[in-house]
Amino acid sequence: MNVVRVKEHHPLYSELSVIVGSKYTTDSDFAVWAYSRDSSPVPGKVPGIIVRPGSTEEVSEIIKLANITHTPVIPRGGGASIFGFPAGIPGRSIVIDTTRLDKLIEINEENMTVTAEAGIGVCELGTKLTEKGYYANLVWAPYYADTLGGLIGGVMGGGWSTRTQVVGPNANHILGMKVVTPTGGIIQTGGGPGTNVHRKTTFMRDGGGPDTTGLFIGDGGTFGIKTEITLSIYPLETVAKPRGFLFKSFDDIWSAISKLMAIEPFPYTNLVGLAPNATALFMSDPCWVLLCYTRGYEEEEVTTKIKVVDEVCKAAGGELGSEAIHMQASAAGTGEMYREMGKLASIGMWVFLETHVPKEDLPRLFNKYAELIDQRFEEKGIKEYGGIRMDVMLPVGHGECYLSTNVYWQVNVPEARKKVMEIADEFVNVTINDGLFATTAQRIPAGVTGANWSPSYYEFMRTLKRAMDPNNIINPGHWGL
Amino acid sequence: MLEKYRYNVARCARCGICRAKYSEKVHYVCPVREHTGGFEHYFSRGRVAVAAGILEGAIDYSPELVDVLYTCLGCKSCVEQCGSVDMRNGKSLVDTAKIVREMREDAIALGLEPKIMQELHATVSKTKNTFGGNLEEKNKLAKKFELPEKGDTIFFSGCYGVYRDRKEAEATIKILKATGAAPAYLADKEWCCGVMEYWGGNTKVARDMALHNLEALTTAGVKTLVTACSGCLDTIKDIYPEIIEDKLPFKVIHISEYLADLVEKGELKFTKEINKTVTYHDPCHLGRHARIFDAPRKVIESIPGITLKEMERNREASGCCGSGIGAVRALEPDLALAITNDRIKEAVATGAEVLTSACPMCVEQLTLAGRASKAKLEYINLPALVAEAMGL
Ligand SMILES: Cc1cc2nc3c(=O)[nH]c(=O)nc-3n(C[C@H](O)[C@H](O)[C@H](O)COP(=O)(O)OP(=O)(O)OC[C@H]3O[C@@H](n4cnc5c(N)ncnc54)[C@H](O)[C@@H]3O)c2cc1C
Repeated sequence: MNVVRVKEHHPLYSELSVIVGSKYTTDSDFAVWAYSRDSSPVPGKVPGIIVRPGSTEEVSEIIKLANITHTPVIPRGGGASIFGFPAGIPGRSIVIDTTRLDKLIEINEENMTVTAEAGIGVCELGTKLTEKGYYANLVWAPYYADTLGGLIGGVMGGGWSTRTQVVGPNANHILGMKVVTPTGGIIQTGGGPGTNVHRKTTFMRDGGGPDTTGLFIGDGGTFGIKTEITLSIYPLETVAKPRGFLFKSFDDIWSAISKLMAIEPFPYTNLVGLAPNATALFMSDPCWVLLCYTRGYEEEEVTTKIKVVDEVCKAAGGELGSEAIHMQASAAGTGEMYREMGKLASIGMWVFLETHVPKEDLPRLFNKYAELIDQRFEEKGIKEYGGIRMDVMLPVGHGECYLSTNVYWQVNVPEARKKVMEIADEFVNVTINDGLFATTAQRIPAGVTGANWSPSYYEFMRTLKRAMDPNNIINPGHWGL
Repeated sequence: MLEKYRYNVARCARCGICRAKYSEKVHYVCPVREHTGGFEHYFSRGRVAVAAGILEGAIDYSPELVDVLYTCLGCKSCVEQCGSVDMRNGKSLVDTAKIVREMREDAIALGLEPKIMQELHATVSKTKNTFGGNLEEKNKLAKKFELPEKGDTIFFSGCYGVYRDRKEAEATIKILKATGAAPAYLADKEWCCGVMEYWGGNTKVARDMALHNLEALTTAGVKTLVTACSGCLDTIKDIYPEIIEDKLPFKVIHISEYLADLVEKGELKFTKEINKTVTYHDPCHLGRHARIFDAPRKVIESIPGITLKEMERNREASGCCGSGIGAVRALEPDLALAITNDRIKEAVATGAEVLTSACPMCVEQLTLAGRASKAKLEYINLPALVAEAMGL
């Protein structure tokens, strides 16, 4: 058993305690350890001190202090990232836990916007909007753990909601943000008070000059700390119907997906293609399954769309699923399937091998990656650790597909984690070398992404980072910057 | 020992569902996170991460860490929200209450037990009850109700029923007698069930209590044990088998289950209407620990005149009373009180006149805080409420 050790305070402990209060400052060894990991198997880095500021001004003061003392800062939301937390400088970095910035500032029902602090849980925001009959594009999962700021900063495109497949990623629905810049300045992006001193609120994205909001979407937090965010809201749909179809082969299911995603307007809100290795979780006789969920405002509209789905699926050789399969479609479409993440945790520890693929390449690459992962599973003996995989594909818009192989394993010995991570690292590298894109702006994919920027693009990004963050304070090293 | 939970600790996915939830019933998962600095180590994910750090040898037990470990209420709200299942045995995959308990046990082995807990455990060891009372009190109770020492149905009063809320114990005995259960009582042979010692990490004292009680109960010929204390119930029913690594040779039921069964059979006779609105607080050890949610409600709703109004957080999603098996109340009274006050506010918000519960520890904690905040509520333990309606 371990013995007791006494540790000295972080050099900024006193100053930070003055800014946020000692109740919200800690540098205890166990406290910083608990902030070393995210929800991925990527090995952690232990920060030096944690603070939980309660206002944008406090965040700004922390950043100013960090600049004076050249101390790295890592913003953190729900800690639900899936590909490694920004590394910072172990033992020194200040982690800014944003979860005290959790207020819903305003739901504006005239302008159809919502403004909230960045540390608000997306579940809280989502629930409060639902209560008023609205939705914002937030996240499928981790619905109960993500913060708004962490979602928008941590996922390329600002995150994927349950409607992204037809309305695009969250980036399309973000109107503006309040951001603490890496030197401690406070700016407001979007068409609002930041770009017009005569306005009080944000109601559009693209007024007032260049679209700087985009700089802070999917940036991994590198360019500043979001403290407030304004999003578009929409009336909740009143009708929804699920549909599940069974297919005999990849070619059949792909033929259906490919035809459905070409239709305008989309006859679905969600469309999830599952391989037999995924449907084995809920079917005794696993096969390829297409889960469709269609939302709308009129019964007739939804029924008409479902008819289209039925026709296309049947023509592609699909067989209408049972009630249980339709329920799976409903669970996928509402996000319920992924929300209760304890269910995922019961399956095993996870890593998600995700990428964005152009439609034209999907059949080739789906099979290529399936073979690659099969081979690595075999070589590394992943099945001996209770390893299983589930292949999932989701069309996004008319020309893109999200591809994910969810790898789960049971036996948590360090070598299992190491071997799975080797596969994950390889996957990120292979897909980016194949000209594809990672889904998150988190440590591993951000590193590989940055390493594959063209020299001129890298130079541009470096110039931008240096100009904004001359002391390289926020998430140093992220994207290789 | 934490080592026993190495697999479970490693299996926490750190997804953070235990950090925050905002839904119809659950606005926050961990009351301790809500009323402290809110850092990771104050709620499940961080506590399990700390456990992992200890198992990996990266961090050590220290007095500061021990203080943090004793802020866990053991209420299992996080376990409920997590919902992950250990496929090997169907139990909770990440049972933070148990993991923290094991850490407390290890800290005690290192001589790091907080002084207040040391004193509490020493009292239990010496006097065989939590309050340092005289066991003679139990003999007096037996004498007053002419309870035999031996019988099929044994009433287990627990420490609270004798040294704190005598009304609860007496009401339970009256109910058992009036309904023909002919209860026996171990009297001074009944020792503390060990709930505080077990969850406080002092396994040795908990074990001594368990082994003694089991022997006394067996000698008394027990077939069914009835208790009105949710802590005693859960400890005897779920923890004793763990301690002896065997099944219990008798049945353990809570008085609310006993009564609900009578209600079901139409055999519970009331003589008095109680025209009041009542709200019911689910004790963590009866609810999330022992999974008894319906029985107390069925009993309350069967009382003529009573209207039951649920608090916003109820059943599986119930808020803890803040006592934390007495440990949090003893070590962190302000934290405990802040948590209790949340619950009182919720009870008041129902508009109910009466706040009842099925655990003397919860009732005591809620009564103290409710009276201090001048909440307009009457506080009564479930057996006392039932006894009143039965005219006993
Ligand atoms: C099981 C699982 C399923 C998932 N499914 C989906 C899905 O369907 N759709 C989807 O979009 N995502 C999904 N994700 C990914 C998840 O949404 C992201 O990992 C998200 O970034 C986590 O948000 P967080 O608040 O926990 O952020 P953190 O993990 O705390 O942080 C993520 C990144 O954002 C930065 N950051 C955090 N807060 C701020 C801030 N206020 N300002 C600036 N930078 C900040 C951090 O430095 C870090 O780089 C899934 C994740 C898991 C574990």
